[in-house]
Amino acid sequence: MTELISKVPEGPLELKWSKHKADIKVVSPANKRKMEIIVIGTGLGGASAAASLGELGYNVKVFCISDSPRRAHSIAAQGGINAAKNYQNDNDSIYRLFYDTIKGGDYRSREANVYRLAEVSNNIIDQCVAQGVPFARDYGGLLDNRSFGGAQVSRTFYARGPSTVPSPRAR
Amino acid sequence: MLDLVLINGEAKGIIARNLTNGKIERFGAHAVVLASGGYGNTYFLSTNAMNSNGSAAWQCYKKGAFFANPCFAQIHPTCIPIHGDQQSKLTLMSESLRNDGRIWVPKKLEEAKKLQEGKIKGSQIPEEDRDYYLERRYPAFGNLVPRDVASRAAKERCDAGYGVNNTGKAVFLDFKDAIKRLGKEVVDARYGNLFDMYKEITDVDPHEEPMMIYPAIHYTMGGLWVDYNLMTTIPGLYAIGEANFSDHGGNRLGASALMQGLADGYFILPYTIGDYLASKFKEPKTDTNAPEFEAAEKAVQEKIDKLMSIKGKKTVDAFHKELGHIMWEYVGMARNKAGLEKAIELIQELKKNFWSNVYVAGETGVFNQELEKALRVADFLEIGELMARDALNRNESCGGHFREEMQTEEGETKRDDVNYMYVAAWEYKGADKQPELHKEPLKFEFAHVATRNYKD
Repeated sequence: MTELISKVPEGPLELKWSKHKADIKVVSPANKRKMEIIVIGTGLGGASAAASLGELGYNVKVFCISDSPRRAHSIAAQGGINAAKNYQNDNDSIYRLFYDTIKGGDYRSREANVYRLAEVSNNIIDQCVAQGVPFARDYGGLLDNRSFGGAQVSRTFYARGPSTVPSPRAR
Repeated sequence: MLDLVLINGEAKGIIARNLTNGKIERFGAHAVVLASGGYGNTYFLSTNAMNSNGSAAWQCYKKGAFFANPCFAQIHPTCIPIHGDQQSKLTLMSESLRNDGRIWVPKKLEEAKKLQEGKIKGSQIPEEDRDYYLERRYPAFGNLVPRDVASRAAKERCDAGYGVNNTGKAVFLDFKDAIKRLGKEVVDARYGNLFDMYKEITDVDPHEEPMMIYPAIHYTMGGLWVDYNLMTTIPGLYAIGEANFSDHGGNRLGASALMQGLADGYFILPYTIGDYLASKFKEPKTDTNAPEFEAAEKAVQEKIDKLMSIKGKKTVDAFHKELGHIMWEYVGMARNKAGLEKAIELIQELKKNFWSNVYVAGETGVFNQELEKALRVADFLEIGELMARDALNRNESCGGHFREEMQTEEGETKRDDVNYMYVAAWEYKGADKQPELHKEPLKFEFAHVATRNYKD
């Protein structure tokens, strides 16, 4: 019988991922070039994985079922993306995002994975902004947030989508 | 992707059908990453694109990857209600609307009746006769309770007869107060694109009349079981984003799907996959002439030939719709033992019928969307059965999984942490055999485990 080994590292919650990253092996650039990885799907998960693996030097083959990757459920999403930046100064934190997600999931998800998710959420916003994702900004030009269910803080970064009135900057 | 190819028990490639010319092709690699999304379209009607399907993950399951928590499906509270039998998909109205929109139904049954008969409009009902049921039941979070809670509350009101459209399956999402408080311009700056979309579809202007919304399938929290490295039980096969199970438990919070997809793709998988590949760099490129590829391609071709040769009397869509009805009725927002047992029986019957009476138009070896659909529906039938089986096993209510037997007097979910605080991971044992259940116990060392409370 196959046993389920989750491989969750030991140690305090907030150190698990850093410790794990330090412990796992890496592949040298010369060897990455010799290896091939197949990625099935080109939504946000597949596309970001394929792009990252390609940047690292692996040979990546990506597969998509639609005539355009833009049909993916995540690409069509309207709501936005959570991150524990605490830009609203409303007492958000990695721990609060972690806790809201665990509670929202009714205590049926894996604690260490959820903490890691909350931990890297802030990197995602930096990455997206650097790439030029047109997140909504407030009048002063700072990134804007709104709220979603199961949270009492405003931590959702979003894009306003096609608006009939162009923003002052676009004009 | 129509099959996963294993060599010595490790994921080494796939068999895919080229959608533009129908050719079956082989692809080899040192590792395979599955980012193929969820299986929400098992229900036929969902907010997913019509193309979205569970087949890639399902083939991996059949090759030995465990499927975790299949019964955890998310029903999103704010979608444009179903309007008829000929509809092929549903449209989501973003949860962000609940920042400023208020959800309500009439307090009086006779007014609901008039709405259902089309005799009055929502805007005509005076303030004192409106029941803002989320604010009433969950004062601390109000309209921003999690999706599963908001969906169940809408169903509860509609089941009690307070639905506001001709089918009785809709509630109002109202911006009257927001427009009064913030002004039309501010509201439009926040939600203008969503208002436009709603008006295009329903021909009703949400500035004038409250939106009508109803819950619909939107996301699946279950998926392939993965370890901390996001690797499935098949070495070399990874699952990320909605395709895995790990982060959302019984219910996903809004705006967390994009977070997980990008977290996995940008910052987690690129590191963890190195741990596996570090021991593989001496291996040459995978030879797609290997007998394992040969066998997998042959099996795929036989499956396609079988489907094409049935030439029955019912279209693929008809079967899919029928499956959707069974799923929504018995494996939807409220589930119970008898219903789930019935669902398993009905799905098995439908599956038998499918394999003897489906009609797949067109030819093999060319562009053929009917064949694409047939292959996916064949898998949806099996996914649906596993979902029902998992829902039957999980005799507790948690998140989006609501077992009617397990509820509080107020109709809230009743979890059973003693018996069900585990991930249910199912192992495929062969066609016509029952899958085997494996349990990964969940330990909460850092988060305080409590009954969810959005009231105070």
